[in-house]
Amino acid sequence: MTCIEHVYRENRLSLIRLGFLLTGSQHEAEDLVQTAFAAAQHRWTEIEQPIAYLRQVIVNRAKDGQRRAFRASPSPPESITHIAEIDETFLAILRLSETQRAVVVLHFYEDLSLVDIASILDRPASTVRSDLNRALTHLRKTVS
Amino acid sequence: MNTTPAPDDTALVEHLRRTLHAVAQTVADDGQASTLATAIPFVERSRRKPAKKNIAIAAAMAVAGLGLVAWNTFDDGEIEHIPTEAALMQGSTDGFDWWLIPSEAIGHTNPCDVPFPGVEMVSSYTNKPGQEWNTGGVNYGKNILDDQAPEGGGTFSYECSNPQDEFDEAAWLDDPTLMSVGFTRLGRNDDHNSPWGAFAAMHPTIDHINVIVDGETIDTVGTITKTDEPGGVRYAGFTIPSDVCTFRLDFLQADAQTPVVSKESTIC
Repeated sequence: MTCIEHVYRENRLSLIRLGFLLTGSQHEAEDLVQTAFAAAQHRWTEIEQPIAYLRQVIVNRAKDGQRRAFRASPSPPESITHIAEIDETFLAILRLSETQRAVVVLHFYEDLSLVDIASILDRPASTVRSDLNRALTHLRKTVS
Repeated sequence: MNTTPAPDDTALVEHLRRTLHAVAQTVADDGQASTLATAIPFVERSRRKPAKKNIAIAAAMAVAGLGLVAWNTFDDGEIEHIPTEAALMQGSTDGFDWWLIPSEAIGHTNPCDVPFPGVEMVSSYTNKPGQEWNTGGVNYGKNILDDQAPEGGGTFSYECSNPQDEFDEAAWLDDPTLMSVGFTRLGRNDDHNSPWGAFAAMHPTIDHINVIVDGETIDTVGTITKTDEPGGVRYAGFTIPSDVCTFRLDFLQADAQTPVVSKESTIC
């Protein structure tokens, strides 16, 4: 069993990056990672796949967090990569619904299958496929 | 199940992949919390065996310029007594007595035997003589050890050839929005009826903290310095009711109506 400290060391940055892609805020992403490790530590010995578990907490917390009415949602920076095409596409991704955005990020960034994504989001795989198709339809219009 | 994008989506999919990876690469480690372990706000010291000198668990998490939490556990040792005489603040909530005590008074040091500069929330319920310390704490300042950590993570070890304080206060004093905040159960960690002990280390200009739940201020907490550091870093200890899941902390300067910064936290 890998100790939590080691997992934290090895994966913190990649998890923050995942959180950033889901929220558009590094601050929010760091908060999500903190929350995920806090949730994991009390049941660490019971968690068979720590990264999968942490990723799931981050994804679902990101979704929940953005639903909270009084959460201050920081606006994404106007320029992230200084490449207009990239920045515009990312803003389009951020404008997707929370679920569609999570599906896009998990599928195209984390390279997870739709079955794995369905497990993370606790949605039927067929629904996740619909989420992805709708997201692509939206992005196709926006990005083009 | 895998998806095969339609031919006209292939370019779009490739563009999305490139976008996501390019954006992700812009996220760098801010150096606030990369020291082995943390950013974990609910660590209980007693859950771990006393750490060896070369094992560090420390956290400093910055969120929107707000450090979330800083935890430190090294060579905890057994409790002989709680140095309540050194407490900056104390209280009793739902039957749980607690004190906010400088780490130095407790005797917690980093692996190089340098006392931690911050404070710790000590609950009488979880810190009884003969037990290991079970506290949560915060430090103020940039953790200089993060600069020594390998980029992107990896193993890390202390170099004690030139023992020094881990936390560089000066790096934070230019920005009053920087702070560290942490939380710990005052009772057993799995006791959901136990209130939370909360603690913060912040800029010398922060006069008080408003604790806000569902838009209403449920508590206003004055901040305090260590007795031997008047004008220095300010600290605060307070409690959060057990049934509160999400709350906001507004950090205010004296007579100010607008917070210097706000921090929202979810602890359930």
